[in-house]
Amino acid sequence: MVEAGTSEKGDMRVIIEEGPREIVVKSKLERIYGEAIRRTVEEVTAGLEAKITVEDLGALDWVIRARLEAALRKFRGEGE
Amino acid sequence: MPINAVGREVPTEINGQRFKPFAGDGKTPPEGRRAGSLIRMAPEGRSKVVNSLEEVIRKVGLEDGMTISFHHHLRNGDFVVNMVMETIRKMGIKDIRVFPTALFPVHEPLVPMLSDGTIRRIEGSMNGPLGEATSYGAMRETAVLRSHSGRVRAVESGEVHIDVAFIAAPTADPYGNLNGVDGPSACGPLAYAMVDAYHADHTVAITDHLVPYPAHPISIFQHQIDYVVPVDKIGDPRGIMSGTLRITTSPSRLKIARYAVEVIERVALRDGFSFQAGAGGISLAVTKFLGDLMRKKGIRASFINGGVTKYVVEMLHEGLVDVVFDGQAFDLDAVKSLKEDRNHIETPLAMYGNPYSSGGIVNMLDVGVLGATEVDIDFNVNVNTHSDGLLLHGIGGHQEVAAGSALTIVTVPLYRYRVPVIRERVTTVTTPGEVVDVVVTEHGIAINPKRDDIIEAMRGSKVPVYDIQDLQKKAERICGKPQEPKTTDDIVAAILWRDGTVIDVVYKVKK
Repeated sequence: MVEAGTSEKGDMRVIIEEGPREIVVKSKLERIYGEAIRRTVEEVTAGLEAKITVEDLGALDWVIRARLEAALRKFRGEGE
Repeated sequence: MPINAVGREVPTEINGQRFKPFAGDGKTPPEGRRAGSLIRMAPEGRSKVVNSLEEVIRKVGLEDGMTISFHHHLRNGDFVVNMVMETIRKMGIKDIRVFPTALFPVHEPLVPMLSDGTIRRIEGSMNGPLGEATSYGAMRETAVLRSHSGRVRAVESGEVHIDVAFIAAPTADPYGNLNGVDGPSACGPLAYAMVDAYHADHTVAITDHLVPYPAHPISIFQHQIDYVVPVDKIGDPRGIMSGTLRITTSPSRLKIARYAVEVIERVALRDGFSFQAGAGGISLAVTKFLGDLMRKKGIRASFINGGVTKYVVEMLHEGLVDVVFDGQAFDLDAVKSLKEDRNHIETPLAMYGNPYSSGGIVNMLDVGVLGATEVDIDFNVNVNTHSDGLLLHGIGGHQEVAAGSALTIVTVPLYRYRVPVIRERVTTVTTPGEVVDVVVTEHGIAINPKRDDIIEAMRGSKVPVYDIQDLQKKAERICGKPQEPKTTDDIVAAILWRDGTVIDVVYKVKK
């Protein structure tokens, strides 16, 4: 299991665990940006066989992409 | 349903009562005569003290379906609303219309009373859980939200008749003289409750500080109070006072405050000018920076209307302003100043901004600085709902300050976290764009195109000036396009303009 991001307002925490592909999105902005967040997570993690959990506290899209990418690199063992 | 002057479809009948659609500020003239209350006599003897809420509720004859009122000077520290409502529930009285000035998260115990038959509806501001429950359809009838002055107008006109007013009193004597400046639950003025004391059929003061006759100073006088009920505690001072209010430390919020002060300097700053103060982070910063500028330039204001905080009190005592009008105190410095300084004047809410009166304080304001949850490209402002459609805030004095001030400034961040604040269309219209002059964000300002004088005054300024459409596009580029809130066709709340016309409605939100 790897993690990236924080639980600060405006940030996103990303957790990637071994297992079949599954995406879990928890967001305080579910009603406003739920669809957009899912699209970004799908896009950035396309093809990854793992369980991806994101806990969003109102992160902008570029923050989401950066956190996802950091978690992906850790998951693939590309160093800290 | 007709379309009103801000393009919203609104009902003409709410809870069986007729309402007109919003036609524009000042476009709907008043009708009729002011409403009265029951004429009554004092109880025998020299004391009006009754020792339990249950007994006093029996004495005033509270029945199913009646309307009761409360004030919110004790804010999130208030115990009185919950203790009165719990007593009513236990006594089995049903279908009450609750008519508070405002309710807060501390009043969450009323949520189950929306479904157990105790409360049929609430007409008043609902900050937090009660508003959220109402958004999901918990209230049997339709909530009605009014501004501070709109509420006064509704009482004076008879649109709302109060059967019993329950008035939290930080200090009371046994014959019903009340004030808010002394006692363990001191809150400052009792301004919100004055109209209720005058117009309700029955009035009950509830106090945790019973003093010998006569209490003094007096905010609400004995001839308007029927009974006095002593209790252990009417509130928690930690929730009544906001503690030490801090000026925002966020660089972007401070930038907004500096931009706002530059607009004020160029448009309205002169000896004898006046402004509205508030307690929000940006408002405090504006007050502080404006004070610094006045000191530097040797300018003195005629009055500040508050929302009084220690920053306003410091300006009064330093001689930067002649008079402070006080409808609401936010900290103990404000309470102390109200008690001791004769230039710090408690003003009844009826004097604040009721359009159907012979003129309120807001008519004399040069500058009003206000906040918002959303602003749209027509300068319409939303302070009631969040962008997901949930009703979470009251109107406060937003409408009357915006309508009255010669220069109305709305200070907002371009976006909050990921949510754009400047949008194509606000979720709910609280205040129409016609009374909003300048929108100030950390990225720059937008001036209402009908204010040529302000556009001219801002020429040569370093403050970036944009079309509001450009600010909206900028917000959307940064945040992405937001989804429309998932609402149903069921109306859960009506938002009234201060003159009693319907400016918008709030729809039920899907879980």
